[in-house]
Parts: sequence; C-alpha cells; structure tokens
Amino acid sequence: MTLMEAVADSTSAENTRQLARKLGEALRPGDVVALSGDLGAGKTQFVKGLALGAGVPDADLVTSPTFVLMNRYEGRLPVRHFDFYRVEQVDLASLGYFDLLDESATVVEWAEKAGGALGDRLEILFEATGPTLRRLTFRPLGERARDLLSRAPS
Amino acid sequence: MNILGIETSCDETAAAVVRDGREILSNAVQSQIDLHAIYGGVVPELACRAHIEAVVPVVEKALEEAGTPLSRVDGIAVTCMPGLVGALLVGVTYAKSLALATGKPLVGVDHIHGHIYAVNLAFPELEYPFISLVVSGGHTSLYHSRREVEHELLGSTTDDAAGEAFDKVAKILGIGFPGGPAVERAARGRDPARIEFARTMLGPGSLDFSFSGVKTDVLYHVRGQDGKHPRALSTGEVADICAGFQEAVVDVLVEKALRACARRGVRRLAVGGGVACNGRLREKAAARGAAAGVTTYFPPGRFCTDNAAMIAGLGYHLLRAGRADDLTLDAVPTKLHRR
Repeated sequence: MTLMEAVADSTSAENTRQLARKLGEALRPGDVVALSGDLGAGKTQFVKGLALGAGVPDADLVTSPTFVLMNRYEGRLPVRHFDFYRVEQVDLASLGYFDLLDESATVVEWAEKAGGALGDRLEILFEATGPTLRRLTFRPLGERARDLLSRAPS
Repeated sequence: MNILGIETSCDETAAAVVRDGREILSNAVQSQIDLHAIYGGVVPELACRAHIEAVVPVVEKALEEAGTPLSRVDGIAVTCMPGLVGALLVGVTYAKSLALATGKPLVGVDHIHGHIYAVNLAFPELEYPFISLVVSGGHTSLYHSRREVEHELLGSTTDDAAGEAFDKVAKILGIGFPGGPAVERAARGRDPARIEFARTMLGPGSLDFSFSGVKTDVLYHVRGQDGKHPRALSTGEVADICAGFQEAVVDVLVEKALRACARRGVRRLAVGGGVACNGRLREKAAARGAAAGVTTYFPPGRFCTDNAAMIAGLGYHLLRAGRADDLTLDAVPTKLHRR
C-alpha cells in the first residue's frame, strides 16, 4: 500500500541530477531505488546525481551498465547500479542482486522488468512531458523506502 | 611459445592457440547471438549455462585444430575483465583448473586490451606507439598504446557505449538485433545529411564520449516532441534516420580519435571492437585520417568481434613481461576507472 507519493518536475538533465543528489545524500546501506521509464527519460542522469549524493567522487564514473548488467561505485557507501534493459528474463539470484544487498545502496534501471521481486524499494517513475521536461513520481513500496523518502530533503 | 586463450566475457565462448603472439594456429568461436536473438535480449542464467556447456568442447576444438595437445601448450590466458560476472567466471574457473592440473603458467587478460591486440594480429607491421579506439556494445575508449602491455586510457564514454546506442536506436526503429549491422544495412546508399542528429563533443579539450543524447534525439524525432505520439515511418524515413544517426556517431568517434592522435603526436590509429566492423566508420576514419597524416588500421571483422586469438596473443606478451597470475585470479565485472 502506498502511504505517500511525491511528484517532482525536472526541467533539464542537470535538474534531474540535482534532484537525485538530495536523495543520494539520504541513502543508507540496504536501500533500493527502482527506476522505470522510457529510453532517454533520464534514468542514467538520475543515477549520476544519486551517486554524487552517495559520495562517489565523479559523476563521469557512472556509465550505462546495459552491457555488463551491473556497475559498482565506491562512495560513502558502495553503490550498485543495475540495468535490466537487455535482460529478457530477470533472474535476480543469477544476477547477484541478493549478494551484498544489505551492505550497499542499490539502484536499478528498467526495474519494472523485475517488479515485486526487488522487495522493499523506492519506485521512481520517469515520464517525458516535453523534450527536456520530465515528471518524476516517487512511490515508496515498503517501510525502508518510506523511511528513505522521509529522510530526503524535498 | 604456444598460448591457449579462453574468452567468455559476454555472448561468445571462444578458445584459440597462438604461437609467439603472432601465428594463429586455431581460433574457435561459438556464438550465443542466435540464442539471445530468440529472446531479443540476454538471459544471464542462460548465458552462463551456455558458456558452461560450450567451454570444454570449444577448448578441445581449438587444441585439435591447432594440432597442439595440452601437453605442448606453454601458458594459459583468460579474459578476466570486464563483462558479465557469471560469464567471466566460467572462463576464469576453467582456465584456473587447467593451470592447476597441468602446472602451466596462467595469466588474466583485460578484454579491452585484447581488442587492441587484435589489430596487431591483423597487421604484424603495425608499430608502437599508436592511438587505439575500442568501440563495442559495452565499451567506447581511447588509449595511447605504447607497447603490447602498456595502454594509457585517454577517454571513455560518460554514459552509453557507441554499440549500445546502435542497439537502442535499432530497437526504437524496430529494425532488429544486433543493432549495428541492422542500422548500417538500412542506412546504405542514403544521404546522411537529410536528417541531422546531435554530435555531443563535451568541450574542446575532452576525449570522453557521450552517446545518450543522440539516442534521445532519435527517440523524439520518431515519437514527437512529447515522446508520446509515434508516427508511422516509411521505409525511406527509417533509412534516413539510420543514415543520419550513424553519421553523427561516426563523426564523433573519428573526431575524438584524431584529436587524440594530434595531442599525442602519434600518426597511427588502430580501431577494434564490434563497431569497428561498421563500413561508414572505416571510410570516414581512413579519409579524414589521411587528410591529417594519420594511417588507420581496421582489422577484418573476425578480429573485431570477440575472439580468443586476441587473448592468447596478448597473453604471450603479458607472460613474457612477467605478469603471470596465480590461482587467486578472479573475475572483475566492471573495468576500473582512471580517475
């Protein structure tokens, strides 16, 4: 059940990164952020901001994991960056999703392919409302996600 | 010195025997592309299982075709980074087991450095130093290559790899997987100037790449400014979009590679990885390179895509440089970054 839902409008990729950075600052080990939205909606840009907020030193370190399926960055805590774009059948165990889940912050692109199997997660839906305009809808699915959203400055 | 090379970093299970880093005695590849094409994407569990099933017969085939029994192999080289971790582990574990059972030296090889060495295999006359550009589904990187085992990273993609952009654009246009050959086929004979797409240069000093913007540009061209109103495209329009997109990617790759040559005062450019198969990239790099006094080296297609001859060849040089690994060698999914 959704207890609270938050909406943010972004006017640019830079704006998306700033929004994400605030959330990144609130991340704790075990948190899961699940991103859904079309190609070009700004998911990877969001992860760049999120990683900066989590203490990763350079946003250029964050690249699309479409090919390797998972990147890992070192910040104030480890950040695991999954991308299920080219995965047809998501088998989280064979992707190593549950390994180190409790020790790191996890962000997933194309999370809708895995759905509820991801567990307690902050779902963020990306919607294009113009060439550079994006509407981000934050939906905490679980106790931990609600706690994360309440810690993040809006 | 005969080196057995093993490569399982992504969609191909490959093994090869190469003598003295030069002479390819065998080069066996078993592809999973057909398997993945059925699903339209990778199924990681399936990918790892396919490697497990293929690795022993592919290695046996490579040894047999080379006429070299394991007893006459002098070293074992295996791709240990980067790639799908489960896939890499199959090759690494098998190579370690062979090394343990036979007592032969073992060496882990960086897959991207392997792609650079593939250019050496195709062009034995190519002398160091040179600038190398590795472009594939997972990688877009520029290096200053000083010798076989010394590559300085000058720039890499800050978001999508070039081959990934080809795959995603092909999917947006609904023209098939893998995207590189599909886009090139559709673009053939079309005027690339009819539809122009963004060329992201990231500032005059940068040798990094960004291909996320051009992908999004194509998406909005196809789906309208709000991204929600897809138009029915004629075959001709699809072809023009492919030609314009391909030109934008090729221009950025060539521009950055030649910038790197100028900056380092190097007059040779080696290009490897799957996207190096692209005909338009070959044409433009050769033409613009010639105008800038830079000779370009593109290996034949079988050396551009993943293969184990490049791993065995580079493994020879690594072993000679004293870079052997012990049985603690592990698979590293993500390449370590330079900063």
